[in-house]
Amino acid sequence: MAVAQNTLDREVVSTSKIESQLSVTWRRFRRHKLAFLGLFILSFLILAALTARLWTPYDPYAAPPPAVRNFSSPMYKAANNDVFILGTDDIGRDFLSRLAYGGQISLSIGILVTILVGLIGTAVGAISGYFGGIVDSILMRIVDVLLSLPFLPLILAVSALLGQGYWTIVLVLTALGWTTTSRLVRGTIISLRNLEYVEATKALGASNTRIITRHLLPNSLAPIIVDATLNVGGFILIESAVSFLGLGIVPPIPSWGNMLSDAEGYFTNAPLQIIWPGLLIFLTVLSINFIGDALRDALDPRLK
Amino acid sequence: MTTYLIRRTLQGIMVLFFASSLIYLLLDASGGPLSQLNGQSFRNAGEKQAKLKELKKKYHLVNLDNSERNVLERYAAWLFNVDPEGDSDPYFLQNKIDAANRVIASTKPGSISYTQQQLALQDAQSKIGKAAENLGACKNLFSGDNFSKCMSVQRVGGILSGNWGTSLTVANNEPVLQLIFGKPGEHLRSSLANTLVLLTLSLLLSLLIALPIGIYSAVKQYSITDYTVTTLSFFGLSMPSFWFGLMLILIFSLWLGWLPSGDIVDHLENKAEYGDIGVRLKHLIMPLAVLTITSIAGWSRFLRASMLEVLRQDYVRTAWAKGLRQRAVIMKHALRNALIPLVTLMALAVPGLFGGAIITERIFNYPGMGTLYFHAIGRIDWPVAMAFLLISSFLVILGNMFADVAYALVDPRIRY
Repeated sequence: MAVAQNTLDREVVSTSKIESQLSVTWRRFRRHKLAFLGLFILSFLILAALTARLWTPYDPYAAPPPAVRNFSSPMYKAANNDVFILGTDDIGRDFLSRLAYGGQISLSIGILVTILVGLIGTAVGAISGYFGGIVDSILMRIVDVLLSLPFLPLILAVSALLGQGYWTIVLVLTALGWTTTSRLVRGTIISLRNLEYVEATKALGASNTRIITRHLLPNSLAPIIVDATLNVGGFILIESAVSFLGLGIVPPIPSWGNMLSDAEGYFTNAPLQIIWPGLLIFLTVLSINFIGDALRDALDPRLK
Repeated sequence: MTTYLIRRTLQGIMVLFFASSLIYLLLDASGGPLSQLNGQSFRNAGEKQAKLKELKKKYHLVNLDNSERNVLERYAAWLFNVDPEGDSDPYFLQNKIDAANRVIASTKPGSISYTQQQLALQDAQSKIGKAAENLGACKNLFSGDNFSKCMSVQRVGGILSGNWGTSLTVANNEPVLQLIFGKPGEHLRSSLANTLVLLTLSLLLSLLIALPIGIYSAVKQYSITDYTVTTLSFFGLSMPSFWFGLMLILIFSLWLGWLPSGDIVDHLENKAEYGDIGVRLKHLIMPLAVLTITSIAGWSRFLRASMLEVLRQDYVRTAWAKGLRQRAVIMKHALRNALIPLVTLMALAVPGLFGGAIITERIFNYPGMGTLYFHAIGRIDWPVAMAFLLISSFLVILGNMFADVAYALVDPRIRY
């Protein structure tokens, strides 16, 4: 009898302190050490990119003075006593400054496109999932057709026809990239809309908008957040691929992708120029993936 | 099963139709074939107008009488163009009549050109009535018996009739179909064949490598191998493929000199035939590595998760309890159930293959459809670009259909 009592006592979780969902999530997130490494690297890179204007010694766009040699190696000191920490690129501009400004562009495109895609995808998915019927059929048919198109070739074609530039690439990526998010949101909303509290809210006379925005969407935030986090990495990869292929962001505006394509012809002269931009893309996306994976484990409703 | 196949095929054709319309609308809305004039400069406005007019006629953007077509008419013209040509075209015949009249008015009766032009005039005048009537029928295609009248004219077809256009800028006026599918007799060396070799090999290789890794990782969970595989799969998923390719070239071609860095044969070293398997394999190693790394990372992780879920099931416990050998339990019972979601994942990965092919072929200078498309995009070669998009959409839809059939075969619970 006493032994049974002890085992029972041991299994009971203390309920004297009520934890908010945020602190539960944080506690579960804390267990993933790799995610903290990812957070550290990512915040360092974001900070470096955000404050690029403050700490980069040279202008990434300006043509350099003739005293500076091109393709120099790191820690190069030019004839006019300028020091270039990572060397210069094929025209003689400072490589480090270009990396920083390129980071600004790449990171901002990733985050901006993710936010836009999140908004559009959530809206379409919520409407489709909640109302069902013919609205759902039509919207999902559109999504199906969009998903069966080859993604990168279409992006390349539309970018080539619309021209180059920051906002073009943002527009193209948003217009073609919202489909996976909408499918995800639709699935979550469908699994939530038949629950009893939704029925109760309907019985109390709530309008459809209110049900969606105040009840269904907040409860489906978990997969949306995880999906958004992983999307940032995905869109950074796609943007750098498009810039690498010569569309999207073109020189002289630096983007990690087009810095790689600039350096492509100069394997023997300056191998570092091929290593650095790609390495930064890799580290960024890796950190984002670590964080996203940890978030997915932390927010998973099945493991309580 | 057969009814399901038929239904699925019809569905696939419908999706292909919608996909083609979406592609055409997207490209048309972004500027269409006329955007190749964007970067060009002209001596005067007249020259630009003339070039514009020529392009509009070439790409069926205007009717025969140079009136603008709306977007639906443009799409229909691209699909199955019913514009008559030659002696069925009343405008062409009218031009002939006018030219003949000019020559007749300016030459002496009895000279050779006079009689020639008289004959031509009579010929054209006899045909022009019928031609005008047929053209009217083609303008209002779906009213009355216009359809049969119009279909009887001699005309330049559209995509559905096999007229995929000629490439303007990539290859000088070479027909697009020949560019992609290769000259007759050289089909196995064509761009499409090269790309298909690359893509199918990468799919097979990814599957062959991801399966054992995923299974082992799930069976020996929490072992060192498992942790290594999980971390490495993160690396593979985050790797920009173009950077990976460049690094491979740097390491294996420049620093070590082991592997060739491009194309499919060594043109200088050994005049190897295209059929020499050894040389082709050597050239394929690095492109395949680049194409497979992301897939292997993603699929092995997914298979691991799927296997873990399956291994917790009761029927697997029963199999262990029955005393079956580990191999039988895992291979015969667990794996077959864990593979089912992987089929879906593989089907979803097919559209991404073509993007990967473009990047890989560009880096390694591989003569496939990807480089063709890349050059077409750079110089805005509309027919080649549309052809590539159509072919890749078709292959994607075909892949989806295969995946559905495979799903039905693999999962005995599904009965159609």
